[in-house]
Amino acid sequence: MSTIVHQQSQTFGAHPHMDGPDHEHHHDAGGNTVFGFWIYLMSDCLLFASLFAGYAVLSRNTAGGPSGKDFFDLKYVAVETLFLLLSSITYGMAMMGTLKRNSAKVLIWLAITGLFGLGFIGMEINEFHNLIEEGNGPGRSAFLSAFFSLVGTHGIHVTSGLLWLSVLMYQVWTKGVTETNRTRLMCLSLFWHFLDIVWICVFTVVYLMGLL
Amino acid sequence: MANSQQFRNSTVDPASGTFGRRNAARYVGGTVAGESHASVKSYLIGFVLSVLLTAVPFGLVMDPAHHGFTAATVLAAILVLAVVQVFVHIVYFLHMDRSAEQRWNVLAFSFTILILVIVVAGSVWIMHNATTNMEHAMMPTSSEGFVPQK
Repeated sequence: MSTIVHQQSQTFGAHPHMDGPDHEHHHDAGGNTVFGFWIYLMSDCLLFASLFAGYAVLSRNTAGGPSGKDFFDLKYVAVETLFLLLSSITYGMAMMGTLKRNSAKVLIWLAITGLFGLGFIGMEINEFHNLIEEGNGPGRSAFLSAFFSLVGTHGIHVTSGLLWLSVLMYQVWTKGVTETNRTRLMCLSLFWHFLDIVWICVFTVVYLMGLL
Repeated sequence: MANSQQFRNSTVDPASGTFGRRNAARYVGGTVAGESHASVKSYLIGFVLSVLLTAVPFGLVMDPAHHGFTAATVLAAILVLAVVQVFVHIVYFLHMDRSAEQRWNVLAFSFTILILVIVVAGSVWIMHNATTNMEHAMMPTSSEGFVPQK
């Protein structure tokens, strides 16, 4: 029994009567914060649902402009997908470091996650840049408006995630893996994996179905 | 006792950054393998499955002949594989399961899926009908859809 309680106090460190010496804010905030963040993610899910619905409705309205078949490059998208997938597993490794309260491990894996995320967002900006250079910006057709809105919104989310990641790295760097930082790392973990799930839908609905 | 403690505690498993699949197993089964090992394993399984579930649909679409399958079959396959991969991510990366401690997370998620299906399927259905009816009325070219005619 004492083993269980001990393990629990490690696992659920934010619980009121189990707070360790390193607690730095009021009781039980961690669980509520993460649950609240989950609710936010669900609302974000609905935002993406409406963008997907818009894309599904408008995707064939090319108004004489290019369709997906004219510029989608599956090999390029495969590399983007790989970057995002690798960043998901490296974030998982950072969470392993969080479990062991190993700041160095957390920082290294967060940095690697950030690099994969940067690679992804760089490739996406390059794709958008080339399209706009060729005169095929979001104003060209309803299809391109929907394409830029959907893929761009995902990209903005990834960019926000990277910004959050760098702030969190600074916080772990200066204060270590405290209870507050553990809660923050958990929330970003949910956010990051959630973006990967949205990307599965993007590459399926936009790129794979667009080229079929 | 173990179960009541588990229930009183909140929904979160800081170990994985997400939800407590392994905690449920721990309290029910009694013994635990190394915590980090279990979760690294879960991430690795999830990663391998995801790579497979990504490579197959990409391979099917990239091949000009679709490896001998019809376009309709490939369409069905990539949609099914996408749904499977979403669930792989939910189970192995978000660690969602049916334990009591996660009831509210799952409830919120299920409600979201319901709204999501209504929004997406409803939009596509309504706009498809609108397009079909407008084609009867105005005979625009199908590629123009319901973009105003110049």
